[in-house]
Order: sequence, then C-alpha cells, then structure tokens
Amino acid sequence: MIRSKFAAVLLLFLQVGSDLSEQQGKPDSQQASQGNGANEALSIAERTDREIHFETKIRPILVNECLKCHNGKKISGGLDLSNRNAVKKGGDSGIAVKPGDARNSLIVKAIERRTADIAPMPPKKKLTKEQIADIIRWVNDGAHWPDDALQLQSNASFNSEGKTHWSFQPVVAPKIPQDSSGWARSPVDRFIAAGWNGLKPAEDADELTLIRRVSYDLTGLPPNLVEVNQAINRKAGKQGKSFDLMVDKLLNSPAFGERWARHWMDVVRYADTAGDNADYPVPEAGFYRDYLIDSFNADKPFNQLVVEQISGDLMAVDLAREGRKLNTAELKQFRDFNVATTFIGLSRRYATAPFELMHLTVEDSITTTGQAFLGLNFRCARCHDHKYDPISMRDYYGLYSIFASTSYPYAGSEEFQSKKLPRSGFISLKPESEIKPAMEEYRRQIEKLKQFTTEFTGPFTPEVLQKQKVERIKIEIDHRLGGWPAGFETAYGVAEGKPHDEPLHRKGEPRDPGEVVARAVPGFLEGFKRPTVRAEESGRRELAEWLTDPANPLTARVYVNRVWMQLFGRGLVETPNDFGTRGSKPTHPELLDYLTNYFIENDWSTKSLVRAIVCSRVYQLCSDDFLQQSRIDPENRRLWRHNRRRLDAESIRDSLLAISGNLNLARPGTHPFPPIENWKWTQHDPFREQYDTRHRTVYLMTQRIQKHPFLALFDGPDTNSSTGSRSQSSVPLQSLHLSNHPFFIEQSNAIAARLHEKYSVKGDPTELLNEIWKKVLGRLPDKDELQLAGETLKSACQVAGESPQRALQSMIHSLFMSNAFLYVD
Amino acid sequence: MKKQISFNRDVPISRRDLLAGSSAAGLWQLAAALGQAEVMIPESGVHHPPEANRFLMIFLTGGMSHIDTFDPKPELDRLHGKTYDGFNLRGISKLPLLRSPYKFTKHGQSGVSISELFMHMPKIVDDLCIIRSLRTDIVEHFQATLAMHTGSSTVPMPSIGSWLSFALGTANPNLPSYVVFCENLPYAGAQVFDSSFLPPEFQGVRIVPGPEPIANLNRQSKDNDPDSISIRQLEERFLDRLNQHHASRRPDDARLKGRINNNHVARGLQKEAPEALDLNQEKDRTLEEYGLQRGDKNSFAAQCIMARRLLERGVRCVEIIDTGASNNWDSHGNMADHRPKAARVDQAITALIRDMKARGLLNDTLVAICTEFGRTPWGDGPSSPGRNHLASAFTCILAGAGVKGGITYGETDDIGAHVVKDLVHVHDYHATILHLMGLDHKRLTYRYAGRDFRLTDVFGNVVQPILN
Repeated sequence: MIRSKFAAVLLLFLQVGSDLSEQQGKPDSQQASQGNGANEALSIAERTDREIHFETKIRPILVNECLKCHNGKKISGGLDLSNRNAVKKGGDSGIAVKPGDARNSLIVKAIERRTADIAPMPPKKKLTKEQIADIIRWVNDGAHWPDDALQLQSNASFNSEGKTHWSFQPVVAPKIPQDSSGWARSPVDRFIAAGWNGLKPAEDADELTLIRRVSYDLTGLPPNLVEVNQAINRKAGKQGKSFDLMVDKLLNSPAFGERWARHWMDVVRYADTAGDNADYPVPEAGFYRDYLIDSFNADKPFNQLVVEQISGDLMAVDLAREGRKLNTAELKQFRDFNVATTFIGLSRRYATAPFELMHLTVEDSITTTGQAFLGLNFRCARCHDHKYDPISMRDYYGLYSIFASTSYPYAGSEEFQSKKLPRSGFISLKPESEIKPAMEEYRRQIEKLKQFTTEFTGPFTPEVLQKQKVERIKIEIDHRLGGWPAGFETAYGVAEGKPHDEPLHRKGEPRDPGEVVARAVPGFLEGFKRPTVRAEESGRRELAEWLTDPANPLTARVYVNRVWMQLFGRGLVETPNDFGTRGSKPTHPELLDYLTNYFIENDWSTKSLVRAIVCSRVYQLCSDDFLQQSRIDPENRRLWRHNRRRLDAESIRDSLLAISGNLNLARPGTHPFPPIENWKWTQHDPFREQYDTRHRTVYLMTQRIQKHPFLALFDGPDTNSSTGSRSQSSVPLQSLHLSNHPFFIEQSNAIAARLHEKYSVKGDPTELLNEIWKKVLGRLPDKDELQLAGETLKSACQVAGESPQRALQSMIHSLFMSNAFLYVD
Repeated sequence: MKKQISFNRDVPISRRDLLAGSSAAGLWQLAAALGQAEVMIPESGVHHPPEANRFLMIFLTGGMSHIDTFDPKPELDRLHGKTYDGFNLRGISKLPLLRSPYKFTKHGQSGVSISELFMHMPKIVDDLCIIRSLRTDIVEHFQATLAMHTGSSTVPMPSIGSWLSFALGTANPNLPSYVVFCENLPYAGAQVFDSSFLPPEFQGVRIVPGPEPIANLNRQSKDNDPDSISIRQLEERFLDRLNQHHASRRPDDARLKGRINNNHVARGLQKEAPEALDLNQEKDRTLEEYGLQRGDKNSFAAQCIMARRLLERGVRCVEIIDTGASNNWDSHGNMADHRPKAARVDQAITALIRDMKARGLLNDTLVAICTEFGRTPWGDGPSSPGRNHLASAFTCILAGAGVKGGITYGETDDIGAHVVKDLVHVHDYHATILHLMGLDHKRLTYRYAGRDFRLTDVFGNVVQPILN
C-alpha cells in the first residue's frame, strides 16, 4: 500500500497542535435563553418559540441524556420519556413533568440533584447549568411537545416510525387499467387516463411541435432541419412510424449522452474544482464527465453505473488481481472503474488545509449518495435521528465509518498548494503491472529523500528552522508516497483506506465522540438482504450491492422518477431528491411502479425507459391550456396536457451555437488550466476563471465558489450540492443578458451573415423568413408573424441604410429573446 | 514506513485542530429539526412594524482590528511586550502583546472613544451604536466572510440582502432590490451576495464602478449611434408584438406575461440605472463633504454617494464591499497598514451618514458597518508589529433607524481577546438587523430540500438593549 492518505496532513498539525476551542467558543445554543416565560394566551409566535425551544434544546437533551434508559422499550423506574403521552403519564415515582411548575416536577428535582429521595439523573453525569435551565424553562412554559414530535428515537433504538411510508414499500406489479375510450396507445397512457376522473385530454401536438419537444428533451439541441423540412412537406396526419424512427435516431446520437449525463451531473453536484477556500481546479474531473457521457450513450445499465460510482476502485482491483495482464478492453474497464468513483472524490473540500473539516466532506459523500440514489436526505441524521424519516444517527454513522475507511484524493489547497504534490491520493488509470518500472524508479527517489531527512534529523541539527525544513520534506515525502510520477494519468477517484469504525459525533460535533458505530448499510429498509460489511474492506462494495438490489424499493424508483421529470418537466414525485415523509406523494403511484418494474426488467436501460415514455400518447399531447380544466387542475398534475417549459441554460446556449453553425461537436480535451507547477492560489487570490469555448455547454468549466455567470442567471445547477430539479426563473437580468451579452449578438450576426449571402433582404422576404423561423423555432412563421417580420425587416433596412445584414441580425437576435424560442410547447 | 495515521480516530488532538470551529456548522442541520410550517411572509411583507425600510451594509474586508479602532485597551500599553499564550490560526504560541500604535480620544456628546485612525468619524459618533462584543465561529477569512453575509460559515446559503429582498420586495420596479458595490470580489467570491436556494431575482446585482457598472447593462458595440437607437426601438417593438402574439394563443400561462414584463423592467433598468449612478447631478458641496473630485466614478467615496442615490430611489438593500480578497484590512505584517485602509473609508462613511441624516434618509435606513473578525492583541509573530485573526472578539457598528446612537454595547477583556459582557454572536447581529427591518428571524424561513432554512440557522437573539 503506497497511499498514506491523511498522514502528512495530520503530521503538520501535530507540530503546532493544541485545542482551539477556547478561541472558537461555542455556538449560542449554549447561551442562556432570553425567554421571560410570561403566561399569556398562546399566540402563534409563542408556539413557534416554544417549538423551537423544544427542538433545539429539549429534544437533544432527552435524546442524548435520557432516552438510553427511558425509551419505551427500556423503561427504568417505569418512566418513558420518548413520547408525549408517556411523559404525561409519568413513572413509578409519580408525575415527572408538571407543566408550568418546574419546582415541583420530579424531572427537575432529579436533574438538579436537590433532594435525596429522588435519584439523581442522569446517574453518571450532571447536566450542564444551561441544560438544566433549558429544562426548567421548558417545564415552566408548559412543557410544550410539538405535534409532529410524537415519538422520540434514542440513538440506540431502531427507528420504526415511517416504515409504513409509501416509498419504503416494495415495488408492486400493478394491474394495467382498461381504457374503454380507445385513446391510450401504451400502458403508460392507460395509467394516465385512469387518473383523469372526467378531465379530457388535450389534442395531440402537431408534428413540428413534437419534433422540437423531443429533440430538446433527448439531445438538448434544436431539431434537425432535415426532419423539420420533411415534416413540413408531409401531409398532416401522416406521422405514423416516422416519429418512432426519429426517436431512435435521437437516442443513438452522441448528443443524447451529453444531454442525459448533464442531468446526472446535476444530481452528483459535478464541478471542475474542489471547493476549498482557493477553489483548486481538478482537471481530472473531466474524465468523470466523459465517462458519464459515454455511459449514457452506451446505455450502460443504471445499476452498473451505481455500482461503479460507489465501488469501481474495488472492481478495478479485482480485475487486476495478482498482477494479471489485462487486454485492451479490460484496460479500458480498469480505467472506467476508477474514474467512476470520482462521484465520491468530488465531495466538497473546505477551508485552507488539506482535508480540513473532513467530517463535512464525508457528510457530502453521505448526503449526495442518499439524495442521488435513495432520494433521501441523510444530513439531518448527522446531529440527531431524522425527525421525519426513519433514518437514525446509527444509519448515518454506519455510512460515515464506510467513507472514513475510504481514501480521498487531494487536489491542492492554499496550504501545501500542490505543485510539490504529485496528485496525492489520486488513482492511477493503469494497473500496477503496466506502470511497474516507472513506479520503482519513483520510489527509489523517495528513498533517497528519506535518507536525506534521516541524516538531517541527527543530533547535529538543533536549529528550529532546520527542523522545520526537515518536517516539510517529510510531508513532501508523504505526499509523494501517496502520489504518482509526473505525467501519469490519474483519476480524482477514491481507494480503500484503513477499514475501521468511527464513533458517532454527538449533536454532529466531531469533538464530542459517542459510541463507535460499525460500518454498515442503513437499516431502515426491510424485506431484502442487508449485507454485512467485510472486515477487511471499507464497506462500499456492500453499499453498492444494497443500493442496486432489485428489491431495494428506492433506487430504481427514484431514478425512474428523474427520467420522467426530465420528459414532463415534473416528476411523478415532485420532489426528486426527497422520497421521504416530507416529500411529495406520487401523483400516479401505480404508473411509477409499473415503469420501475419495466426499467428493472429491461436491464436498467435508460434508453428503453425514455423510449417507452416518449412513444406514449400522453407525452405527445399539446400544451394548450383550456380554461375550464385549468381551473380544476391548474398544475396539470393529472397530465391531461403537456407542460410548457423554458429552455434550460445549456439548451439556450447550445441552440445559438448550433443554429449559427459555430457549435463544435467534438469532445474537448482537458480545460486549459495553467500548468500544475504554477498553481499557487490562496483564499486571497483564489482560482477564478471562465474558459470560453464553442463546445457544448456540458463541457464548460464550472467552479464551486463562483458560479458561471450565465449558468447562474439561467438556473444552472448548484455545484456544491445535489440539484434534483432546476427552477425556471424569469428575471429582468436575464432579459439584459439576452439582449446585451456579446455572445447573443455574435451568434445572431453569424446567422445573419450566412442568410444574407443566400437571400436578398430587399425583395419578397417570405423565403428568408421561412428559413429563419425553421432554424430558430423549428417551424414556419404564421401569417401574422410573416407580416410583422416583413414590415420590421423593411423598416430596419431603411434605418440601417447600407447594412441589411444588421437588420437581419437584429431580427434574429430578437427571435432568440422571444418566448416562442425560450419556451418549448 | 511511517506510521499510518488514519484521518479521524488515532490522533484526537490533531483532529480537534482540524475541526476546530466547526461547531456552528455542525449544528447547521438542526435547521432540519425546525418545523416552522411554511414560508412565513405575511402579506404586508413584515412581521411587525419596521423601524427601517432600507438597509445599507458597509463591509470592511480582511478583519478590521477592533483594538486599534473602536475598542480601546489601555491595559495593552502597560502589558506591551509581555509574552502571552496567543492563539493563532492553528494553535497556541508564546507571543508578545502589542499595544495599539493609535491614540484613542473621547468624542461627541456621548464621549465615545475612537482611535485616531478615523479623523472624520468623531463627527458622527453620536449616531453610532458601537458593538464591541461580536463573535464569530471560524477564524478564516473565507468562512468568516461567508458567515457575516449568510449566517453560514461552510455551506453556501442566501445572503442577508437576498433574505431581505425576498421578504420585503422592491420599492422601485426599475431597479434591483439588492445591489452590491464590489470592485474586487471578497473572500468566498460572489457567494456572499448570492441568493443560493432563494429565487435568483433576489441575488445581489453586482456593481463594478467604472464604464459598465452592471454587467450587460449596455451593448458592447457601436449600437449607440442614432441609427442603431432606432434599430433598437424597432427590435423592442418587434419583440413585444411577437411575444404578445405568442401569448395570445396561450392565454393561461402567466409565465409568458411575466417574461414580457421582465423585458420592460430590464429596459427601465437600462434607463434608470445610469441616472441613479450619475454623480454629475451632485452639488459641489456634497462632493466636497465626501472628499470626492468631480469626475471620479470609482473611489469608495463615489460608491458611497451612488449608494445613497440608490437608497433614495427605493433600492431595498445596498452593500458596499470596500476592498477585495487581497490588499485589505488583513494587517498581519504591520498595524501601520491599517492607516491607508481607514483613510480610504473614513471621510466618505462620515459624509454618507451625515448626508443621509440631513436628507431624512437615516430615519428609515439601517446602516451596518462590519467586518469578518477582529485581530489578536498579540503580535502575529515573535517580533511582528502586525496582528493575526481573532474570532472570539471584534467590533461592528449599527446606526440609523431604530438604533440608539452614541452608545457602545458589550465589553471585551482587558486586552480585547474575549468578550466578557453582552456577547453578540453574528447570528444575534443578523437577528437584530432583521428585527429592525420588521422581520422575525425565527419566522423568516424558506423550505428547500425538505427543510426550513433561516438566515440565523437555529440561533440568534435580538439585541434588545441597543434598540430605541
């Protein structure tokens, strides 16, 4: 094992180490509260205050200090403090809590340890002064216990609440409803039609509308002009097979992978930087992006994609076991497996030192895993059992131990930067057998360095400065031990660390360790195998196995819902990252299960699923609203029509490039970051770049501490945490951007220049305008538009004098600003 | 081979160092436990009658030393040079205490002490509420700057200006509700004025003093000749008609109308912003007060006047960030470096407060002058005349609507290392600001990813004693 993980980092802190808690202080949860406890009628504001007091002060005390012995299962002294009714009832010694009367409440006597007849509680350790004051205030204020906090869960007890929640139930095989009207074309349609309850479906969309819709949905690009022309020349109603053929064509286009990988990149909070205070770039992140694009284009089964992202490094190790020689295909696999774990490697880094605030980086790994695959937010369980979902702190820290047994790569940061650090903790893209000679030479050099430091640290070098120098070299050695010779291609992935179990952090505070929690997959889902983590591994192998178990009720459901959302603008579950009890309920639960089964039966194929959905009739409805039904179902939850949607940021930019002919469809190489030897960013001078390209927007370099201005303005993804769905905002600054940013002027001008060569602007403009409309909107102008545009063009030519191209440019630019372009019917 | 040290378990001391200061961040997700029912914005926009309708924040980047500006420590003169267990970014070292090189004098009717770094500020001392007992959680620029702006020191959250815009809306539809003068980006970059999960219309609009103060306000082309202006008019008319035609066939979709309206607002902004930022309309005497040469459009003083003009025109929140992430108040090397930083803002801030008072603007405007943390009473190194970062005590100021003027609040110990009386955590500072703007910080929430978030996380108490 040549990877030394965090050793070097910690070493440095040992040199200067000591506790900083004095300086940092405690958050003001520890301040005495300012409540005056006045006894007025209970206003809403006051209730909120009391609720807050309960949640922030009382619940943690009960959970951490009391529930171990008074939890409903174990009831010491007959007292159960885990729910409101039990607390009201009291224990063997009588009523423990007398609302409004702290002095005479047994619980207060017990924690204050005032009288000999009441056993002091908690038995081993007195509560702090603040905690006691909090309890007293709570009792005096009426011992408020919020309605939604019926049953508290002790850290040790298995959480049973929420088990009946719909998304935790096995996926069923629902009966496909009948459709007597003959409207339905596919099983999907039958499920939808069954939910209309008297609502009437909208008309089918016309062919050109449909072509535009499906082109953007499947590839993120405007429709192909050939398709548009064919559809225009075809007679109405003769659509038939041609749509299915076009869908296949789109599914097989490389643009499909670029579009659908981008959706997944939202979910896995993809970024090209690490997120530390200087936001160090990670050129290797691009390998992961490309891997995802290739995977979606190859229609890699989604379960395989999950396994690779969670545990690809283990698969790579298996593949190259015992120095086995790999053939070309296997070498590619080896590379892909390792690149896939960039999913974990990309967890957000914090602050200025390597792996500073590592517990938050691990939190990102856990949270993103939970949201991406299970549609659940584990973050809450870092500090306390999840309030609404049955996720316990033990579930969280079981996962924590798994990720803490994993070695993360270090991209550089202000302290140590990275010029001397040869991609420490990164993963080689080639197996050991391929790189043996180079590595041997590399290690020889390190040995030499080691020799040097041993000599240096002898008894003859008492000077502090020299000592520091030696320490620095030692650190460098450590990093080199964890790194690679120059020129080696590596992934920002993860590897196995030292398998071990971590103590849970009480209240989420790593300086306050509690009991040790063994590496384990979460325990709240039942009815299928919960694999036991192998002693010699981190547990990521088992985590992947558990996530992709076909009987896991969440993973496939959550993914199927994401796919549906991308095609309809809204998921069957409206909260794609929250399938928990606080998330939305599915509008069509049977359809969701039907599609989930279909997906699993079709080998977790994204393309099959997409095809099944877009070839349904409901996908092909027009988006027209008609008032009467809009009143009954304004949100169109029953899907009696299609949802009109604003183009997302990528589609806007890609469309302009595609239409102007400036889109470079090739895959770009690594972003043009400066050479690694020159990296010396600090928080005072962080890495901040925008690299303009003519490639698709999915290939734009995106950072963590600064958003790309265009993407930020048009609701691009959060690069710091999982984006389940994007908003479709509309703000004046977008208008300014569309109107004035040079990009929009340049692209519309490029289009104008070409059209100007081909068409006369002065004569009858019909042909010219038809061409513009087809390019920009994928259809012909109607009569009114033709007239308006013709008049405007004429006036503009008069104003622009000798420059008809300018007039043309102006018109095309306006079209790009128009709602007809920005919205897809 | 060196002993392998795992990142978390085997070396508890180191780990503590690594994780020091993370406690607030750790409790961050307690927000999850909070069950406020919904986004609680009453229709009026406020929870209670506000003292202030506008908010001006002046952020002094890099960590202004409290003990050299607003928190005099005569005891340090006596202890100067004595060795002390000074804590710095990563631990404790024996370091000499350092007296302030600046003289403090009592000023105004209130007799509040300010150091000679500020020559002009004595004129407004009776309007200032100087809070000497601020504390923050993490002693790094990035995290502390983020905390002062968003309440969160780690995970990006909406900034205070975004929260206020979100809650209170705008009073002038032609101007953005939240404007940030930011010539150079501060630590944590644009995150400090980002709307995060709040809708993007509430993100701070950055103004970079100079030829193009707002990004894409104007076309970077020769479009400004008379012909082109006509073409622009044609363009606008064409776009409006096209959009109306489009919307007429989709009558139920409010978003389409919303976007048509936004195009109009954008045009309003194009017209109104240049006027709002135009200093030519200011009188000579005003410019003189601010210490501004006519024609200067870039200096801090110019930004202060522009800020006032925006506030007058109904912009809800204006922030001025005095300098960027480098060349700021971060005087590690020498406290003498504070002098040019103070000189740059002293006269302008003073003039701004006086100006706003004279115009009656200060009656309903709350002004917050703040920084991310303080500086250590001991030297940055064994013989350094500069000071290191200090999170445990620093000074910030409130002034204007609803705030007592001419007072100091809170106390630090003899050397200014710790707060000993009336602690005001950053969350408390924020809670107080929201309170003065008519908002209950506990009820101003936004549900995101299944949880209700607040500016003050699960903390914060309004600092009642400083309120009028």
